[in-house]
Amino acid sequence: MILSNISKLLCLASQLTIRHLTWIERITRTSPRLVVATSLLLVFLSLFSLVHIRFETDIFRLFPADRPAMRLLLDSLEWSGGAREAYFLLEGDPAVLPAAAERLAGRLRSLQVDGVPAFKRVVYRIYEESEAQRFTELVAFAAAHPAAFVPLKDADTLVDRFTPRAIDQALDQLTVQLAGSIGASSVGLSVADPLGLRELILPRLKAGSQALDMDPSSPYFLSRDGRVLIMIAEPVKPVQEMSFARKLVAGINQTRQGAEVRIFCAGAHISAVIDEAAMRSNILSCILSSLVVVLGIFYAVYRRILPTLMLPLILSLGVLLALATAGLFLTSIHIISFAFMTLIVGLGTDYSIHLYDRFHTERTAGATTDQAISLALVDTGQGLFTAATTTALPFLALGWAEVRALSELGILVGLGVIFSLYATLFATPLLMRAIDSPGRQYRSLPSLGMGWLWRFSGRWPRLLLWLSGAMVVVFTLMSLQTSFDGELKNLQPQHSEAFRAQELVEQHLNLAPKSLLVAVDGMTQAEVMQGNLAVETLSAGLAGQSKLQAWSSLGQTMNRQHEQRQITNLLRAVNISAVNLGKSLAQKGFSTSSFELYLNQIKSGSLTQPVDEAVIINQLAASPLRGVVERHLVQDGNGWHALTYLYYRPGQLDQHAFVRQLGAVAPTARVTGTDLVSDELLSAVRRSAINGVGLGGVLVLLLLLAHFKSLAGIASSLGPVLFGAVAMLGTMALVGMKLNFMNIMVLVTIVGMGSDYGLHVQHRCGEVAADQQELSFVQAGRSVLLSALTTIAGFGSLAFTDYGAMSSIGWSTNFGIGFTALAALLLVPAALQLSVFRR
Amino acid sequence: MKSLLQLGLVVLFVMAAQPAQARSLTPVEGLEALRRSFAGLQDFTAELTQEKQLSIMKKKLVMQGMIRFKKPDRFYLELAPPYSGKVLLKDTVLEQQLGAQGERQRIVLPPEQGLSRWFATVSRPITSIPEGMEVRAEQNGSLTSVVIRPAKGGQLKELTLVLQDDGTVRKLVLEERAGDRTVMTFRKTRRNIGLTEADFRLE
Repeated sequence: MILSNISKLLCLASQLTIRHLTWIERITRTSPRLVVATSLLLVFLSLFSLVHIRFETDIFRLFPADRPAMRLLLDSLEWSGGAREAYFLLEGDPAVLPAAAERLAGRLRSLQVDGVPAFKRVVYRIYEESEAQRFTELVAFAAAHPAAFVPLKDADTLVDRFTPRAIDQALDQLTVQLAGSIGASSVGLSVADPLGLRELILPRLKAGSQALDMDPSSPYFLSRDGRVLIMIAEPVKPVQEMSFARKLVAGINQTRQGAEVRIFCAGAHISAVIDEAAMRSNILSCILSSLVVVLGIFYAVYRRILPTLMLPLILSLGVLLALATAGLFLTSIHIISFAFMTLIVGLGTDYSIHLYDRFHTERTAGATTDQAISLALVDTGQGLFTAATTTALPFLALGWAEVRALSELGILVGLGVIFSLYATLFATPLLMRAIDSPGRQYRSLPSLGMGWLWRFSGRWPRLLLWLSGAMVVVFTLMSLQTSFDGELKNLQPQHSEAFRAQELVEQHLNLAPKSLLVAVDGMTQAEVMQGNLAVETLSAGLAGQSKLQAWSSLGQTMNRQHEQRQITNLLRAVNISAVNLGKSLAQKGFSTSSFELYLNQIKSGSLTQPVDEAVIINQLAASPLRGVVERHLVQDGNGWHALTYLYYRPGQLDQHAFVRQLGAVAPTARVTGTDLVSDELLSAVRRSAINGVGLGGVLVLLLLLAHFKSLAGIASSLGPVLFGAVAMLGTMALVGMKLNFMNIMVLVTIVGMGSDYGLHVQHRCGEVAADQQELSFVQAGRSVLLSALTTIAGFGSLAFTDYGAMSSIGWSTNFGIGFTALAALLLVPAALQLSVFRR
Repeated sequence: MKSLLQLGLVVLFVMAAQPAQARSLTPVEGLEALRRSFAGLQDFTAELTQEKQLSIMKKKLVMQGMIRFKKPDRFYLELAPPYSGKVLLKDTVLEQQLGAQGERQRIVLPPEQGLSRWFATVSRPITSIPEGMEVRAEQNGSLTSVVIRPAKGGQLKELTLVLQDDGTVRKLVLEERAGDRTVMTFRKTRRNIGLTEADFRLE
């Protein structure tokens, strides 16, 4: 009963397709002006929709922002200024780098956009002389409250500093410093810290202020090898404002002209703007080059100018309608998604090839123009309809992908394929009738070796099929070696500024190759500082086990209350007297009145009383070392966030174990890192792939079932796909190419694209008499070969693009399409010539 | 404060190069004459006595030592016990070790505070006194003294140089706004003796 209903449904679908194609043939024949007018109206409406679409360049918009690790990564970019600031990386001879930085800073400070300064601030020095007084104030605070900053491990050393003998030595050293320094340059710090306690304090503060591995003796943000210097500039407006950002980037490009060192500009958003032009030209050159190759292939075979020139028109219509339709339900379209146009160039041309080839073949065989169009449109059209649907649906199934890069690409390609088919079905008959005449002579088309291929495959059909089976096994074994590349960086344009800047940071400035960021969120400063204690304890424990290269938090830079108490208890036992210290100062020849502030603080118990953490944080925030606070403690609209950074080498820390441990000690803490973001993306992509393969596969299967109503037909369509997919994975392993977040989706799309080839061969050859099969195969095989070549031309242009994400899709698809087409042209004829496959 | 250090050093070297003129000089003439004489200087060395009267000390610090200079950007100062210390400046890299057990410190100065930058500045012909700066010069027997008051805002209030008529510097006085005063007296000054890199080491 069920089978009977399914059979009826499939018959109905097939009949509806034929009726639909017949209607298209009739309407293009009887009402060509209506077709043209409707097309123009659609073009007009599409253009109207197109101008209202917002095009984005922000790379981070391509990934799901609702995942915890990605969310925290994006939050951290906002907190650190990475999202709004511009970073300049100067690379060159250490001898000229500071001077080059000085010149660049001067130019950036004087740069104007729309008549106002472009940047609020430009910073490239750790220490500015104008902040000397604030630095002295911090030292004065720290010297009066050493328990706030002196590391616990140095507590005994600190206590020893207050013995009479140590005080005597410290004051002697102070005298030497005053004597040896030029003029009175060290008087300020001497008054602030007469006992030189800053020796125990400053190394810790300085270490805490460094997010990167920089030269500690340099006044600049300079790598230890002196070859890379970082400059930070904060634009006056958000760089997400595209018109401002573009003008800003134009100004930046002017300021770095003629520089004697290489200057790279980075920053989460600004680098997207900088790379935008490169991306545009990259995608445009892909589209143009693939179009030229496709037109060249078409003309080389059919030798007709107007049908060749019709292709760009059909493709443009398909692309325009796809964009306009997508714009109806997408709020914006990413610039990278424009790469879909190259795929449409490759895929959309297939329908013109099949349709024109059939038309040409029938005209050569003596059919009239109308008969040839009718056969092409209604008979070949059936195959095209199924083929386009099987191609489009797996792509459209990606529309549900959680990763926007994939869903947008899927929607645009899916829609593009459908609209290209319809543009072909409507435009080709109109053109053929316009340019054809009854007396026109059509020469036979070249067989492109298809006749030989048919005979070759028919000579040893079983051997070929067995061999292909063996190759599937070999490729399957090879494909087991395929690995996954989870590095998001490798998906970026390989010669982009962002990529190069990231490489420079990794090579010269990273504290360790890998890092994690932990955030403890709360409504008050005290709450998050308290909550972060557990994270700090966990991090300290891991560092003690050598599982971390380095780590930092605010609590690691200053002492928490319990640590302060341990130190103040020790200091209390020493019984430090301000009076005695005053006497010592006087004995050494100092004017005690100059040290009155310090002595009064000691008298009031500053050495032996723990300081409120908020007071210490405020003191640090008001000092030149405010970066320590800004890096580790953030307040935004959602409250307070205490941040802890962990740095480690690959294999040093089991990050999944760390996440589990963190969940146990600080259940509400959030954690991120490139590997965690990659894991999130991978699981999202994996789900998308499984859903895509599942949904797309079922849809393709149903369509093939509706089309062929036989297992042999389905096997002829999907068999080459299986061979192509396995061979693609095996070849990727062989040439060292890895799967990534983007090209893994080729496993989904290849099902739809690849099934077309076997489908066309089976459609044309499966239903004709045995003696007619070779002739049909020559026509269908030629179309399949040309379709594969144009598809490869489309994806091939992507393969050579600088954009890692697109390049990987291009190469994978080309492998897959190449092997699938080979299987369709060799194995399907072999199977057709076996009696068991004959209908 | 490091600017003060550089200014002091530069003026000191310029003075060391200057053959004294037995006549009164206008400020511009005086500075221009110093610049011209500096052109002939390659290096010099001298022994010094430094007296510091600091606002935070009741007693005056008196110390002995020696200095060396070599064009374009090398400077070395060594003080004898009890205030033993060494300061080495290689253009923008300042290294110092103060006290017998003092830790060695290394500081990289910004380029505008580098020694070569300062000398490049003073090597240009002087046609006017920089804005805000006051210069007085007077002749007293075989000694010429130049008093420079930099533009307001910095720590340095007044810089006084006393030169002998053979062009060697005799005395340098730094007066700072907080009342701190440093007097450096030089003797046994020797010019262009062929100092090498080996003379500019902190070890």
